[in-house]
Amino acid sequence: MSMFGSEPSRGEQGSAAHGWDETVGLLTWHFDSQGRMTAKPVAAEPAARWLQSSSMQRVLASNVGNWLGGAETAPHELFAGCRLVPVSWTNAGGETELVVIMIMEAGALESPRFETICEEHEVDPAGMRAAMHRCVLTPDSYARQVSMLLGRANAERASAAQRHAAAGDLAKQLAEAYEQISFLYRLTREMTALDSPKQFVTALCKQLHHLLAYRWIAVRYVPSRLAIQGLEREVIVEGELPFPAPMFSELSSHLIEAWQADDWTHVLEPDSNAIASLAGSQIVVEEVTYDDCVIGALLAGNKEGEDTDWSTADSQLLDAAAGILGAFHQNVIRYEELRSLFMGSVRALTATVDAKDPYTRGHSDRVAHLARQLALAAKLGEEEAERVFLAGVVHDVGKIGVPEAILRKPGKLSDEEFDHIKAHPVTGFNILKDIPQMADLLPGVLHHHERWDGKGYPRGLAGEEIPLMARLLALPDSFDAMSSNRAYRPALPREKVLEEIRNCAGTQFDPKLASRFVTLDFSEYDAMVGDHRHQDAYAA
Amino acid sequence: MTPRAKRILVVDDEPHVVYVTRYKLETAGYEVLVASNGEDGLKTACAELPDAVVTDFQMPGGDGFEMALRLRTNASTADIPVIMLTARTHKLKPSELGRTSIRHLMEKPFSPTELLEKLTELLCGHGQNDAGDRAA
Repeated sequence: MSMFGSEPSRGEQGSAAHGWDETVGLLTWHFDSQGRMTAKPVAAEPAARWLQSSSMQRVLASNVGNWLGGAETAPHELFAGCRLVPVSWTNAGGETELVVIMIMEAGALESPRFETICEEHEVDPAGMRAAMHRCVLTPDSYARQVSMLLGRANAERASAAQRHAAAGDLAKQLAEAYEQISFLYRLTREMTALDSPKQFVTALCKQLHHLLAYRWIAVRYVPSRLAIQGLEREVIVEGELPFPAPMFSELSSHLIEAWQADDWTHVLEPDSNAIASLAGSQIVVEEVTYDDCVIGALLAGNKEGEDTDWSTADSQLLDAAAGILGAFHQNVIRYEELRSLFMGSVRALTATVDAKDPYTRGHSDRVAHLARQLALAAKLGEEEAERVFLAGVVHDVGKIGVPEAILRKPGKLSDEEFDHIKAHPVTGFNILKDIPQMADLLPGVLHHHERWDGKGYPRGLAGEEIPLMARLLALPDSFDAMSSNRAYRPALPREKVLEEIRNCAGTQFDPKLASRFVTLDFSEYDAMVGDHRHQDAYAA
Repeated sequence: MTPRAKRILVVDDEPHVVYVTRYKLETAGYEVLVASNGEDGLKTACAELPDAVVTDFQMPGGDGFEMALRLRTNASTADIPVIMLTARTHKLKPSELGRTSIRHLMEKPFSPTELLEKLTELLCGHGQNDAGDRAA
């Protein structure tokens, strides 16, 4: 049933040959895959003297190698009418074993050559004839046919064994191709993890290490203007380096210099390269490039197993992986560019508001910061907290539409003036509503002035009708307003602000969020207030 | 007596998948049975009671999921663990999987090494020697 390799259950099969003498009743010699004789003919004297003689050993020795290797499959004629017929097979371990059968024609025992042999071995021909009779197949034509038949079968078996070996190789190669395809397929799917480049590179090394027989796989990034944050000068290693990591880092820099000097080789040999010599092994290197510049290298060394030489398959896979690293690098850079363009636009918007009202300078950033802290305290995920942060940055964008005179007015506002102020959430909503990347922030922008008791604006929503993002913004928004100097009043001390928030929990604020808010750590917030004051002084 | 090799039934209509899987499993010492669709797979499983089944999902002549459902409802085959190879487009709900003996899903293109590791993991609870003892 088995097409490939061994089966433990069939381990007994290998010994089947040892029953040949009894079952076939002929004289046989047995050889293992290494050509060592494992059994010899059981024959009584005087035949044993000839069969076990050194001349017989020499004849066997000169043929066994070719018979085992399949180079020769035909019988060997000892003398006219006496043949040594090889029959080989594959044992349970996949190795070729050999049995050599002596087949004689009846006439051979009467031939002058037979007489000579008897003389050479100083045996009586009559006794020898009687002993050798069991090798004789009659009639003579039958002996010839059996010899030819066995020889032919042996040739067929040898060629089948070759085809079988080729099929085994093919299966092995196909399995390797499967590994490669599955690896590359998985990698290309993971390439979207642009937020955590190091994680992607680490995962890539891990998978390569799992797939290839190298003791270590490493990615070394070099200092470069094209480096990405989090990866510059990084050395990511999977497996065991045969030398300390800092040394590797230094040596691999030279390697990349060599590439730049157009002296690149994909396989470093121990006798010509310092790193390979330290490792005591070949090292396969594939460059990672971006925009025609080398930004790093993917290295694999100390291959283990039977064949420690690098293979084309290894090199192809490493090359493909290095290509993916380059493409990933490009994606990360593009993504960063997009993100900074986006954040730049957002900052430009809020800067416009800051420019109109110096009292609120830095307000959006501080609200954003506290809102993120509160979101995390309320057990929202990192990603959601980031969105809350962004909503904080843009929440007051609508103040662009409020006249400066009203924003900066020191005294109490008239109803009409206050209506202008109250329009800013809706104005903000309208400014941002066509930006798809901000769609999820809109509820925060529109409703951050709603109150828990329904007395807020613009819609008068109450309780949990108010979107969570808006409830998360309302607390830091009021907190920062109370903590800052305003045109109409000076800043309140921290204790007073927190007391006010506690008092307004359940009326103005979501009570659960309010109780979390008052326990936040405000040290970073205070540092931001300091920074913004400093910037104000500088601007003035 | 030498321990009996664990027998794995491989069900797939693509000969190259069968070829590679067979090579990988046989060189690791498993005995491999083959069927080319769910219908044949079910018959072979009931007749031979393999130690595990590796099956494709979509095949002409009885898909792998239907086979896994029926393996589960048949008392003699209910406990045979199944690994299913699927294209990414086929999403199976946990509730659907719960009605079958499918213990692990692997996406095609799959890694033969990973398949072997998963199989060994699934079968390690009752390893080769145990099976040998029972057979003896």
